[in-house]
Amino acid sequence: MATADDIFDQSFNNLERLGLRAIPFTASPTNQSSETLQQVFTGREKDLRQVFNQFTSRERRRILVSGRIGIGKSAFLLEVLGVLDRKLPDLLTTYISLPNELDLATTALIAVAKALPNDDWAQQQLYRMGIPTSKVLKARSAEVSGSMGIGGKLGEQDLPITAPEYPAISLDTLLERAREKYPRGVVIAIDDLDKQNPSRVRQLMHDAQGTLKGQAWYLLTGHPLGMTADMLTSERGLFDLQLPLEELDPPTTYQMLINYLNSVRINNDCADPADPRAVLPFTPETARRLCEESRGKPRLFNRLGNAVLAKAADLRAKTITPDVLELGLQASARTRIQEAALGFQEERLRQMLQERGSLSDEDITLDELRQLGFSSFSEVMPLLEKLENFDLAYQLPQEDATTFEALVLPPLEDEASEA
Amino acid sequence: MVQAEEQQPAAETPEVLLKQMLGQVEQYGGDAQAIYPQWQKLLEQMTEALLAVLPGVAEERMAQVATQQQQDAMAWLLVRFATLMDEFPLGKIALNKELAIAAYEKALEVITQAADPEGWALIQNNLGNTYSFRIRGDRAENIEQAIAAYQNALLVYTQSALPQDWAMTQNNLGEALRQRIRGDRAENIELAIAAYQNTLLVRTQSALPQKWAMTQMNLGIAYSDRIRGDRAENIELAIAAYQNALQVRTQSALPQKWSMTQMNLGIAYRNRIRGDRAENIELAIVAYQNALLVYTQSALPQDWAMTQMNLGAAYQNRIRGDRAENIELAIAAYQNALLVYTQSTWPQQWAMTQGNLAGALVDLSAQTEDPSKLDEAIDCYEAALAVATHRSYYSINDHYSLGSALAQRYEQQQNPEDLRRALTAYRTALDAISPEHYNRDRYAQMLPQTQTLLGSRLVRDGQWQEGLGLLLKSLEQLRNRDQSSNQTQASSQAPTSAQATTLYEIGRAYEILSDWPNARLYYRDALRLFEDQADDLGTARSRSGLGSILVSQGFFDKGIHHLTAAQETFTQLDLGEEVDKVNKLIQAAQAAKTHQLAQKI
Ligand SMILES: Nc1ncnc2c1ncn2[C@@H]1O[C@H](COP(=O)(O)OP(=O)(O)O)[C@@H](O)[C@H]1O
Ligand SMILES: [Mg+2]
Repeated sequence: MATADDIFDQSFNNLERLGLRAIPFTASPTNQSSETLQQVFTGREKDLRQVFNQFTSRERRRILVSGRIGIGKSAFLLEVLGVLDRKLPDLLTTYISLPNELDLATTALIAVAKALPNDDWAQQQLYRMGIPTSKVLKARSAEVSGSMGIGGKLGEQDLPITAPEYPAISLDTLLERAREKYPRGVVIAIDDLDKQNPSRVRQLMHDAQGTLKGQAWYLLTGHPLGMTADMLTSERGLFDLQLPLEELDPPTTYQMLINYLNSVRINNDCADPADPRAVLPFTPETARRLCEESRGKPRLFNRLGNAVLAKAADLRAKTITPDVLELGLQASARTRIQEAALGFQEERLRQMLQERGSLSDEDITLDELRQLGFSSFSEVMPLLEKLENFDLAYQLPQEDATTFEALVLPPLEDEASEA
Repeated sequence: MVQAEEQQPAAETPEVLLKQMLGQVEQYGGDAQAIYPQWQKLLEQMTEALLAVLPGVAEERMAQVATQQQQDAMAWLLVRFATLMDEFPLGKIALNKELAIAAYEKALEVITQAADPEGWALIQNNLGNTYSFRIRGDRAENIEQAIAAYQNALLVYTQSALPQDWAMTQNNLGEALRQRIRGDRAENIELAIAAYQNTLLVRTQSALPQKWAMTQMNLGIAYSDRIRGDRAENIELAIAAYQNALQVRTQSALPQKWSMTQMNLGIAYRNRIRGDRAENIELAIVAYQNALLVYTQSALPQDWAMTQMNLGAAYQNRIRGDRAENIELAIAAYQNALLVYTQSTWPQQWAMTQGNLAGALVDLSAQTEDPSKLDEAIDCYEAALAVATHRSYYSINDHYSLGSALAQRYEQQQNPEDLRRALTAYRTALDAISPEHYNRDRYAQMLPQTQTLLGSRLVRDGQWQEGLGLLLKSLEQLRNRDQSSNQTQASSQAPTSAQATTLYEIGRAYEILSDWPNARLYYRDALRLFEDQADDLGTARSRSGLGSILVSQGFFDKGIHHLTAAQETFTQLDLGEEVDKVNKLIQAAQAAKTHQLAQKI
């Protein structure tokens, strides 16, 4: 009988059989170190150029990176910050995921204060808000779960943060103090505005106009719907650059696969797309198929890649043949459906989407809506967005209608193939 | 002050006083005529202290007697004391009831069911009555105590053995059940009706006409309150019962009881479902006017005021005669009632009457197109609400009516502040109303409707954050409501037009905010529902909104298609202004399209 240690070894052996040290794919870029990200980050040259152009100016700029969930906004942001860190040491970069319930000024204040661990005043600000500061952190290390790196994630922690009374003023003071060490200024990257409801985002922006036009550089990420036309017209000038991220084209996706594989491959650093060894353990054929299936969407690409490699390891395969790939894709579909834990209505919607291929506010009928238990498309939107969140559907970049297309799943074979 | 002629020694202590009072009961054998004047002289000394010493005094006197017979006599003395105290109309009524209860309880320690079942049952019945009218303590609990006592009495009073007593206690039990707060109200009323019907098995018109009439009257009230069964049928039964009662309770023989029954009869006619509504209201008015023959302001001011209130309501609903005149009569009746119901003496009744008066003023304002009456009405509602018990039926009702009066004034004067206040009033009503309340649906509807109105108004006024927020909130409420009514009605009912309107207004709000994707989405949602409801105007307006969005986005053909359809409908509906507006949009779109084509070439 195998011991746990044996099983552990086997898992690694199985991966090694594929010529890999680990599975490189992850659903979120915050799980990667900045070196790894640097290694795997692919494409977006035009977008990077536009952002860096902004930094040639001494004037503070505000940049909005928009795009649908999973398109690579966070990765792009982190990549930009990594480059800035390396290239401009007199610029302080900070990153924070927008916490629920907090305004932008307070969020920015937290981000900057956390990046100044040796500034007592900054730490005091944090302490007052009930956020563990480096000192307190030491005192109760037993309770802290590590990974509180630069601007560590606050998102899911739901700390009861008491916002300071005058966050905008505190922020100004803090930026002033930071200038001593970082004469070039401070970049405040606020991520995950796309995870908030669009009307809340609009309100946040509206309320934070003063802060955003203040002394720091701002990099924000948001959902395209959140950034509705009025944001960009009525609050004209709120952003100097609005950067809509789109799907990666097939050659870039192929290159991305190479980069991911290279970051974990044993004794093989071939990066030439023309060389079949570059995609090992994939064959050029299965590599292309994987890229196709992921439709240039980085998160979906990561999910699929992850499932395929896990399946291949399970099957103790050496190469990812079309059969192995197929099984991996199916496993991914199952996992996504499982993870989504769809309710009754959501599942009905998924099936209708599956049958029809796409659903759109333009041609859906009242009867169809009723079959789903609704009477208007706006009511179905949150459900469709949930499906999109789990890569079970995606919204087309279409302007005269809101259309969601099914992410065509390979037909599910009998559940026995799971075992 | 009248000097005591009999030179009664001033009681030193409460013990002495209580003993003196018991002595009087003993001396006069429970004759109220003789005893009450004596007690009247002691009013000032009749304090809470009496209640504290009563058990001690009772025990002391029990201890002084030797035989069981003497003990029983002592206990019956307490019972007589209790019965007299229970009905003593002077002093602190609340305290009198407590003294009665304490005395009955003491008596029951001696007179047990085993030793003297009939006596025990009698005391239980009386105790039930006292609890029924008890002032202190929790009313719900008091009624439970009363019911328990009556049920004890009925263990002994059986129909076969003691039919008269059985009937009496059944009647009392019926009253308690009718007023019961705990338990299922519908069930309680059924039980009350059953109890009255039991009573009537024994009490016949020929044998005990007056008591029969009383139970008929009670039965009538129970039928008119009945929840189960067919409401129309129940009201018929109530009317029949009151008319039975009136056979005995005639104006000449029993004028007050006649009046009371007339008043109830009037209420039943006003609520009557069968028959001709106009005629029923006439019958109600006649009944109230009958009641007022005996209930005069000087003799019976409270009853007079109450009847005026009812009369006012009947005039307000009157179908025959001149509407404006009827409303004036209603207002006059309410104002009569307010002569007695002053804010300081009868705050609840005052508030209720103010609320009714306000309703009449709203009607009058609509009838005479006099906006000042609406202002007056709003003031009345607010005055009433300042006094009304929070969450009471009237408070809920008045909040609702205030909301609708304010919404009406908004329609006339377009001051969004009125809508805001209306919304607060509706919200208060809805928060207070219980989920089972039959009016809840109506109230629940007004809230989102007003919210929609206010929301779209605010958006137009440039307060788009707040406006849109309200619109989205109404939509959510409407959806929840439509969903729950879908479930209860089983049939897949169409969403209301309120929902379509709100969707349309949200589309408009987004359009004003230049949020094209959302505007488009909501206009299409509105369009689908309006089309389904065959609402031509709504359909055309949604198309016009949708068309203009599509044109703004550069989708000229699609846009023009919707605009043209809208234009056709507006033309059919003869809405010149709308037609012009759409025409301009179509022209602009066509020009832009040509321009675009020219550039491409
Ligand atoms: N250009 C890219 N190159 C490599 N990996 C990427 C790229 N863009 C995104 N990813 C990866 O795809 C996943 C999803 O991207 P993420 O940035 O979280 O999307 P978003 O923030 O838009 O929801 C992450 O694991 C991220 O590291
Ligand atoms: Mg992200």
